[in-house]
Amino acid sequence: MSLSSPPGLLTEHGLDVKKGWFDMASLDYSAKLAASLRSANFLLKRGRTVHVDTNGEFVPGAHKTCPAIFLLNGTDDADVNNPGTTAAGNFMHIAVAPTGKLSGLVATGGYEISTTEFVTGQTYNPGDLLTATRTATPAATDGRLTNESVTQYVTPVVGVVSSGAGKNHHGIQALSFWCVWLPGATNWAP
Amino acid sequence: MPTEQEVQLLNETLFEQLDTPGMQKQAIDAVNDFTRTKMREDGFYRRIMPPLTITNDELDRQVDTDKPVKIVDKEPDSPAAVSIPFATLPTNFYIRGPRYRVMFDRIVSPRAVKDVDELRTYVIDIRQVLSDNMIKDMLAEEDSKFIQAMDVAVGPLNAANPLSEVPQNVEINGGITRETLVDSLKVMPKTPSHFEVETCLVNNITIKELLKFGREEMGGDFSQDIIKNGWAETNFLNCRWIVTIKRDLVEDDVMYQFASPKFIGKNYELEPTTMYIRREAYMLEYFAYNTQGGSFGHTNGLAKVKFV
Repeated sequence: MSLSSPPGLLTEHGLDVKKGWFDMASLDYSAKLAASLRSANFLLKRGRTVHVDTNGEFVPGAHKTCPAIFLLNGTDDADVNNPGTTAAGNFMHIAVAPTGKLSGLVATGGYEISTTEFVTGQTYNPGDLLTATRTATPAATDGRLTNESVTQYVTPVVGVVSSGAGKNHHGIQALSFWCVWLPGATNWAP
Repeated sequence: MPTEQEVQLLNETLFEQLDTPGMQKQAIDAVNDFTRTKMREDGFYRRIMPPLTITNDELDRQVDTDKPVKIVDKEPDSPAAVSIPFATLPTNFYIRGPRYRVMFDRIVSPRAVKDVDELRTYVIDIRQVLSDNMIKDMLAEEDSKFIQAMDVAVGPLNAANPLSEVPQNVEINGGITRETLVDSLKVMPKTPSHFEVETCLVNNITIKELLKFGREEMGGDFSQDIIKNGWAETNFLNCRWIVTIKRDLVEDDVMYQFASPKFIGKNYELEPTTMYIRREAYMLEYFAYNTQGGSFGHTNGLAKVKFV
């Protein structure tokens, strides 16, 4: 939100839930980003995939036993974060609210989702298994869906491609998939 | 205090309204009036920074988000006046006023579900059943956010606050006495803004230390009154005192101090606390929610004192 940097388009990153949401029984989950990532001002866009760590906080990417969660809002959304310090470290304000809580849909729910956050270099066919990218140390590219090197019963599976990838009605590349949760092998590690 | 018969009549009326097409709004309005009154009375954040109602027209549209945002102007600082000899001109400064953003989020209670036939057996006020615990939890959440932000604003213990360059989170030795209480009121005026403390927030354990003050320490019959009747929110040391039972938020022997809300920041209420109630056949579901946003735009009007 600065005039000195290119403006963002609010349709650039996001999650469209084509089927299964919204109703009052929808399975969603709210938590803050992991403290270590918060303190590093880690940017996680709407539509990325996360899991819950042992502290109950979000970490980007898939986990071998913890179901995936698809973010409805990102760390830079106005209902999540209101940074009050300038890039040079000067004070503007201290926010009482919002507090940094993100929210997302749990992969065990019955949804068909279209997300802008996927690895675009791949070819996606209906029925392809999807996982979410993750590195040992969280990186800016983590939490994007991909079908690369996904082995059934080895890699944690977070979804199955439905209609595939293509430009959505905003002109942004998006991948459509059904939520599925299949834990990874015990020896799987990012 | 209504009688048992009056409470039952109230409950029956509420159920009838919930069950009658076109009357649900009256039923929900009745619960909402009750809920909002309790919200006003019980939370300390709301008493220290009373929420300002904000309407859609007052929100500031942004290019890269469709979420509500309000931009608030801050009073600009100005260079100091100087003494100069005759025939000398003043220096120039170009006026630039800083601003800050207030953003919003929602506080929501868990959704309660109950068979209405089980509720019929209650002889307590259903509106109270519907709202009491939810309100308590929602207020705890907003008070918790407020205290977390406050702790960030005052800075580390006994260290200079990076903005005011004087400590605003101070430990005072000697326990709670007339002298240490008066010393605590010197912390905030030492900041460059020289604000005076308007409101003190302590917990219900800390306040009991004041009951020990004798006539010579407290002053006259006030000492007699509080030892006889206990402490009630009152003006003392020319400050308004708020006593909370939330010891998990306000520790024992800690006092939070606030200048007038106009010097601190903004607390906006976009959607007042609303109770969603729906009856489907014999199942009743309800939850409460509100939308609020708040920021401290100026931290010199905040202080924290720990008496040791």
